[in-house]
Amino acid sequence: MNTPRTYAVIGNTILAKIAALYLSDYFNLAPCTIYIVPTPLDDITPPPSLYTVLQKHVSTLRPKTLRSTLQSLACCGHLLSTHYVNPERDIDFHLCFDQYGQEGPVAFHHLLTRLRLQGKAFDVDRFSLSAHIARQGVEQALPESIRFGLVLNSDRLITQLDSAIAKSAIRILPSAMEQISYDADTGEVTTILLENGEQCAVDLVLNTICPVVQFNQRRDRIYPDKRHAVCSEYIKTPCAANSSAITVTSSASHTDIEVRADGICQIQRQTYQSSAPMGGQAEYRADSLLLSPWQNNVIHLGHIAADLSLNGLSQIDILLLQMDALTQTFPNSKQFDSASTEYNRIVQEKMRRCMEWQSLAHLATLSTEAEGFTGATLELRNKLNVFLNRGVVPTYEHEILPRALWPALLMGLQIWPKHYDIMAETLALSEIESIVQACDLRIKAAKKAMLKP
Amino acid sequence: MAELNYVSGRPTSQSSMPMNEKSNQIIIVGGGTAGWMTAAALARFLLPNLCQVTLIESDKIGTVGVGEATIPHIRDFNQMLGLDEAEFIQRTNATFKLGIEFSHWGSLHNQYFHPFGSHGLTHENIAFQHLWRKANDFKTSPFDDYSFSIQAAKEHKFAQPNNNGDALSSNYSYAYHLDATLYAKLLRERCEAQGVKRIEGMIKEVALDSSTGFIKSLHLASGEVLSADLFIDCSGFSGVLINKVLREPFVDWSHWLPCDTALALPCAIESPPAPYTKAIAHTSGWQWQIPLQNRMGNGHVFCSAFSSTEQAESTLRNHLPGTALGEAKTLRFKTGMHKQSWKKNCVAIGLASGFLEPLESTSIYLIQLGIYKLMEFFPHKGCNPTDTREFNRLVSSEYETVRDFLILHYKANQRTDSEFWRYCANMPIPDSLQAKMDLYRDHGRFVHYETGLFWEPSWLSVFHGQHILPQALDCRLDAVSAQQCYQLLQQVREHIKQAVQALPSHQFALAHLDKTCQPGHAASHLYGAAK
Repeated sequence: MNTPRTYAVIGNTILAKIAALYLSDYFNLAPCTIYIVPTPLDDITPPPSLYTVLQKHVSTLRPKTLRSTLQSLACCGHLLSTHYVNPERDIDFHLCFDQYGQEGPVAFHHLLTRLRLQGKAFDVDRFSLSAHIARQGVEQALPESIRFGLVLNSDRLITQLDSAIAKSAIRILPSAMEQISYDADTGEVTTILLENGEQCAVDLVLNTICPVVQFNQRRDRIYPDKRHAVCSEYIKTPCAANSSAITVTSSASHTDIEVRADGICQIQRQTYQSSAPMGGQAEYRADSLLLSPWQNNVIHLGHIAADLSLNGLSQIDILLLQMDALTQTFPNSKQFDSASTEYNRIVQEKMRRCMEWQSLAHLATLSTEAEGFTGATLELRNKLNVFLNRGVVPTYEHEILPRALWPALLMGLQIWPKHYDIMAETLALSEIESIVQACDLRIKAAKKAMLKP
Repeated sequence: MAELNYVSGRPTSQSSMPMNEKSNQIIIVGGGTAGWMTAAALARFLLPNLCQVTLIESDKIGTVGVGEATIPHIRDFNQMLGLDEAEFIQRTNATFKLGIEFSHWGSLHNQYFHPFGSHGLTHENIAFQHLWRKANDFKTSPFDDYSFSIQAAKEHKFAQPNNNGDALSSNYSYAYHLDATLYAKLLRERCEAQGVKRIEGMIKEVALDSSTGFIKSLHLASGEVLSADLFIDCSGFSGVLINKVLREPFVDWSHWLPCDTALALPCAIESPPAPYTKAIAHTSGWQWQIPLQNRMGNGHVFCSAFSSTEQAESTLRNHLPGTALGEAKTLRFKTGMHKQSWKKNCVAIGLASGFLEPLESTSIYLIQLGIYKLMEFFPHKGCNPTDTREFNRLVSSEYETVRDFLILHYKANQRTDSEFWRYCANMPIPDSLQAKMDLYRDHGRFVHYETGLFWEPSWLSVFHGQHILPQALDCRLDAVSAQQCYQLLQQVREHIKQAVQALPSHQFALAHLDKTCQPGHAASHLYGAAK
C-alpha cells in the first residue's frame, strides 16, 4: 500500500501529546496507527509557555477532544489581550482580537489619523471593548461575542491530555527511543528502535524533541531578523489576582512577558542580542526558522522548527499553526515531495508572519537606524513604511493577525501614519468627531451592560 | 528601502503636519472600458471636491471593447458605483453568466464547465472530489452533474443565489455577458453628469519634467496643453504614456501563453441566449462565444506560429453559430505585463498595464483591480515611491496568479492532433504552477492562497476537466465505503436536479428584471477577490 498508515510522534511532552491528539482527531474513525515515542530527554525538556492567544485556532480547532480539553478542562484564566508596555516610548495599550473602532466606508484608523493630525490626542484603547474589559481585569464569565485566549494549568492540561489519549487509539510506547533506522536510498526514517528492544516501523514522523537532530540531515536555517532573543530567565512568583491580559514590557535590551493565572505570576525575560547568530550552535538560539521543517518523512514541530521569541504568542500557538498547515497538506500517499514542499512554504510564511508581529514590540523601542531595525524582514519593513506613509498595512499570505488589527497594533506602539485615506476628506471634521465620539459611547455602554452584576 | 520617519509619539500641531492635498488634477488617457470605469470610480468618490478629472479620447481611435464576458466581481464594482442592476442589463444588452463551458481542451471531444460555484458537498471533512473518485466503481455520473450552477446553466435556467437556500443550491455566484462599448457609454453619461470633463482629441506630444522624469503635460493636436498631477494611462495595448513615453519594460509571458492574435466577428443570435460563455478549442487556439441579448460575440484566439490569419478566420467562420455581422477585426497582442504599472506619476490600468488573454474573462476584473488599488494608494501629495512600489507588488502578484491559471488550460492537455497542442503539453511552466499540479495529482490537495483570483472550486473544475485527477484518495476514506459514497452522490445529484427544475428560465429572468434583480450574495469566497 502506498498510503501512510503509521505515525510516530517523538517525545512524550505536552506539545507531542497535542500533536498526537490532533492527528487522532484528523483521522477520526479511519484506520491508522499513532505512536507517542518517549525519549530520555522528555523530562529535561522545558515545558511550553502555557497559554494560547490565537482564539480562532482554539475556537475552530478541528480536533474536538483537543478543543474541549483546552477550553473547558485545562483552562485557568482567560486572556483578552496582550498588554504592551514601554514607558520609554509612551507605550501602554492592549492588543485585542475583536473589532477595533467601528466599521464604515472609511476605515476607523484613518479617521483617528485625520483627527490626530489636527492635534487631537487619543488613548488608543478607548476604541476597543475588550481592552476596556481587560484593563478592569474582569473575573466574571465573558460572553461568547468576546474573543479571548486561554491560560492553561499544566497539571490539569497533562491530566486531560492523558485522559483524551487513553480514550483514543494513540499508543504511548512503553520504552524510550534508542535508535533510528533510515532507508539508505531515500533517507527516510523506516524504524524506531526502543530501549526495550521493541521496533516500530513508521511512515511519517512528527518530531517535537529538540536534540533529536540526527533526523535533520540538512539543518539549514534562515534568520529573517538579525535581532535574536536568548530566553534567559523564567520567574514564577505568587500573585494576588488573575489577569485578563498577557503583559509584554519592552525595553531596548529585553522584554518581559508576564502571565498571571491561578495565583501564580510567570515572567519570562527575553534578552536581546543584535548580531546575527550564524555560528554552529545557532539552531539552539531564538529567532530562526528551519528552512525545511518537513524533510523526507520527518516533520519537525514546535521550537525545533521555529525558535521565536514570543511576545504574546506561545509555543502552543505555534504548534497549532503548524498542525493547521499539516492538515492542509496532509499526505494521502507516500509521495511526500509535493506535500512537503507546500507544507514548508506555508509554515515558513506563517512563521515569518508570527515573527513580524512578535518583533514589532521590540522594533518600536529602536531608532530607525538601529541594526535590529534595518534587519527586520522585508515584509515587516514594507508594512511599516506603507503604514507610516499612508495608513495602509500591506498584508501577505498566511497573516496571523487579522488585517484590521494591524493599524490598532501599530498605533498602540505609537507608530502613526503621516497621511490618511483620501476618502477621509469626504467627511467634515465635525462629522468625524461625532463618529469617534459615538464609537466611544457605544463601547462604554457595552462595557457597562456587560459588567453589570 | 526609503528611510522611515516616525511621526513623533505625541500629537503634533496642525501647522507642522503634512496635509492631504486637495484639487488633484487627474487626466485619464483613453476612453474605452478601462478609461470610463476609472473615471466612474474617481467621480463617485472624489468629485466634486477632492480632484478634477479630465478624460481624453478620440473617436478616430477604436476601442478594443474587451471583456464582454465577465466574472462575478463586476457586480461589486457596479454596486460601488450605485448602478441599478436592471438598468445596467437593459442598457448594455447584458445576459447572465453562470460560468464557462470548455470544449476540446483536455482532449478532443472532451467537455467540462468552470462554474461560479462549487461541486457537491464535503462529508466528514473529506472533499467531494475524493468521494466522487471513491464511488467510481458504481459508475457515477460525470463530475459536472454534482454542481448546481453547471446544471442550471446547461438547462438555460437562472435565478439569483438565495441567501436562505441550502448549501448545495445557494453556493454559487453569477456575472454578465455585456456589450463593453455600451457599458463604457453608460459610464460616460454618469461621469459627465458628475463632473468628469471629456475632451475629444489626439495626443501629439508629452512633456516631461526634466529633473524628475514625471509627466508634466499633454499637448493635443488641437494645440491645447493639459497639465495634471496624476496621469492614468487607459490607452490600451499601445500604452501611450507607460510604454511610449516612460518606456517601462514589458515582461513577456508569451513562452507560457503562446497565442498572440485574436479575430473578433459577431454574429446574429438565433436561439435564446445561454447563461454561460463557450470556449471551444481548435487546432491552433480557441474560440469564444458570448451570448448577448441582441447578438453573439465570437472570436478566435490563436498562435500565429501555428496558423495563418486566413486559416484562423476560416475556422472561425466555419464555427459561427449564426450569420456573421460585418467583417472580422484582427487584434495582435503580446501576453505579459509592464514591470511597473505605476511609474512616476503615471498609472497604467487595463490593457496598458498588461494583457492576459480572455480565456477566463478576467480583463474587466484586472481593470477593477487597478482601480481598487489606485483608490487605496491614491496620491495625496505627489507620488510616493513607497506607495507605488506596494501598488506594483499587489498588481503584479494578481496578474501572476491569473497567468498560472490560464497556463494550466494549455498545459494540461492530451491532444495529439495538432502541433500547437503538442507544443503546449510539452512547454515548460512556472514553478508556482508545477507545484499546484503536483500537489493535486499526488494528494488531491490544493495550494492555498488567501489573496488573488481563482480558489479551490476553480482549480478543481479545470483539473478535473482536463484530466488531472488525484492519484491518491483522502486516506480517511478508508472509513467510508464506496457504497456510502455512491449513496451520498446520488442524494446530491437528485437534490440538484430538483432544485434546478424549480428555477425560472434564463430568458424569463431577462424578461422580468424587476423580479430577477434582487439583492443576492456574491459568494466571492469561492472565487477569490480583490477588495
